[in-house]
Amino acid sequence: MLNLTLAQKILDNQDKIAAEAVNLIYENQKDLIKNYQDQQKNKSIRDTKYHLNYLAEAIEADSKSLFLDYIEWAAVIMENIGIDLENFIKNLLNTRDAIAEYSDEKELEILNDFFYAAVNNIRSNYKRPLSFLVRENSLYQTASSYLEFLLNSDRHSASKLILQSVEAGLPVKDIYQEVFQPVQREIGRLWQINKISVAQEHFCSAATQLVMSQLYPYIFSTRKNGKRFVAASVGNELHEIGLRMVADFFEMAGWDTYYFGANTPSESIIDTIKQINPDLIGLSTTITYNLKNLKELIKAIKAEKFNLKTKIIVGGYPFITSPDLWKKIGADGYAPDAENALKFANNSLH
Amino acid sequence: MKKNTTILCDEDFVIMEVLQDDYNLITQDLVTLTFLKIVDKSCLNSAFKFQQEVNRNNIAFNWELNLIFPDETGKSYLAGIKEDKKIFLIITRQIQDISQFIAGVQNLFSRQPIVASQSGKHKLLRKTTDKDENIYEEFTRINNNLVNLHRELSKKNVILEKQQKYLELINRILRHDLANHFTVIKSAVNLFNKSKNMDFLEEIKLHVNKGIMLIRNMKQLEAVFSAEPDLKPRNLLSTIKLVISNYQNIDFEIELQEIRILADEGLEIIIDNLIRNAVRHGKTEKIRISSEETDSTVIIKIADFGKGIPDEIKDKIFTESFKAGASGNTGLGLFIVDRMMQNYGGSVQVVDNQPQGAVFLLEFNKA
Repeated sequence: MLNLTLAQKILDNQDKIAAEAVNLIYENQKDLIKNYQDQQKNKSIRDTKYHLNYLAEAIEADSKSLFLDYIEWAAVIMENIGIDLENFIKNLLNTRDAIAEYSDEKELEILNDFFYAAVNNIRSNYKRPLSFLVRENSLYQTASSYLEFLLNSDRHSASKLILQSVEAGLPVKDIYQEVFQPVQREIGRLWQINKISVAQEHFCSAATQLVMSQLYPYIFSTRKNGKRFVAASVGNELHEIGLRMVADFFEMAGWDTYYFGANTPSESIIDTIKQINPDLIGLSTTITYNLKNLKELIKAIKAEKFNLKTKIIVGGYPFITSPDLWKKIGADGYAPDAENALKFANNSLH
Repeated sequence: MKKNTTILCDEDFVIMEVLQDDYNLITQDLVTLTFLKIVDKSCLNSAFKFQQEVNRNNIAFNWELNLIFPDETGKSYLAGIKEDKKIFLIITRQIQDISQFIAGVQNLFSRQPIVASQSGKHKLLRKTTDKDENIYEEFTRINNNLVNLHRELSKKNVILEKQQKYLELINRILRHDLANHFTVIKSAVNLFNKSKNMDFLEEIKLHVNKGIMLIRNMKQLEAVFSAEPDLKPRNLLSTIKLVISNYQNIDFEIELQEIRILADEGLEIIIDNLIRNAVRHGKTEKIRISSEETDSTVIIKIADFGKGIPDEIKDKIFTESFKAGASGNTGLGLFIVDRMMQNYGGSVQVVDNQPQGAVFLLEFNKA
């Protein structure tokens, strides 16, 4: 209960808190402002609001690891735009001070708990993320060439490389696991360390989705096993590629799958579920502040009681970070990737 | 906010971007415009010194110069800051006032050019703004929608292709098989008219029956080629009991538990086609049905004690229009069984029975 009110306070006052936090940061680091920092002010406020959103969600879910992981991730970004670890830590503590203005003693205890855990964690565990393309990967060469084409904005060559590999007999499943998955992760990392722009990141994901859709004739001609899977992205989620990959993976394993993109109204999802009577429902979110929507959707599906055998599995960044989170939001299981989702399905259905 | 004009130049004071221009100072094309071109000739010397000071000290302020405005030439107050080989100029027309300077600095740091040089040499790489990021995100959403639609359409396309094949098959059966029966019937009628030989009537009856059978099978085919099968848990034992009640003269041995498997309403057709096949082609009088379970599947064995199926045709019997011997009927029965089992995610195969006959193995997914 205490967590809920604190989280709500943070969300309700996020504009004010962010502005005050940034003012504190600027006051306390006057030497920095002289050089460069002023032009960052609006961006700093925006970034601080992101921190606050993640913090509120983590506090609400009572999951320190969610916040810790986010701060670890943000520290990498900050370092790459010129804010070193110690300055980032100072900024974090200033943010805490700004929130403290709005909280009572007990809430401050929770805040300190979260902030000191995050600070201690990055002090002792901070490391630069390593490339996701590793030589041990069985399709390392293909993945590297594919990434290179994407970074050169050459989607035709990227697409040709994949289609030719499939024609040469490489299973689509392997391309999903050994090319698309690591390349998508690598693109995220390159953005995180400021090596590629936001535009490039969006382009690469869009191009990969296009290439994937060219593989659909292969994927949908797989022999069916009679099982059904409904997958849906939640809220205004931007990151659909992961869950769609999971759905495709199920389709390749013989399942009849239905994928709903972000912004599909819950009623439509529930109507389809009633109509299709799936064996498994997969829901995903990448952005932590969509957790609330996810929880509500699960509640709404379960309230229908249309088929008690149907299981709900969740996935996405927050669940990878916080291993028990799936229980807290009412799901029946969680999987970090497509292969594990399929394992879960096979185990729980027999 | 007080008025100001804020300009970004390179080290040679070639104007690259105009960030703010409350005075409409910059009216010309930026490609070759230098700072000195907007300075009145009367104070070119001071302007030169101003440039030098900015380049030397990285900062210069409180400079008074006459600049050429569209409607007049007039006194202005200038400040310049040099950073990373770029020079920011802040120009105001009122007496030098620190708040104007700050307003200028603010423009400078929000850096949205209202005019930018088109010359490649001087073009700066613009930083991504929040607005840009929103646009990228919207593009990604649009792309997501397109891919989702593509996915749905590809899936439907596979179903359509399957139904297309069904239509082609029906067309072929009508043109070929059914036409064959009618040709035979027609000539048998002619021959009967001439000879009044009753054997021709038997021939006619046979081919009429084969035609009827073909049409019945087409109904089954429709189920095979329909969209996704509606798979539900079915009780295998009760379906088998229902089917074998139609075969009064056959001795059945049923060794089955109550097993629930995943199938649709066509399950009856599968069992019936296999039993009919054993009776018609195998000429068996006895059929044994038993089962074997694995972790996720159930294998049903339908064993007959008839003629058996020669090895050389075992591969072919499930293909479309394969007919064997005099009893060969529509050639569709086993093809339908194979396709339906595929739809269930299962399979069918045939092996020899001991001491004689054939065993059909049906593998179903457990419910």
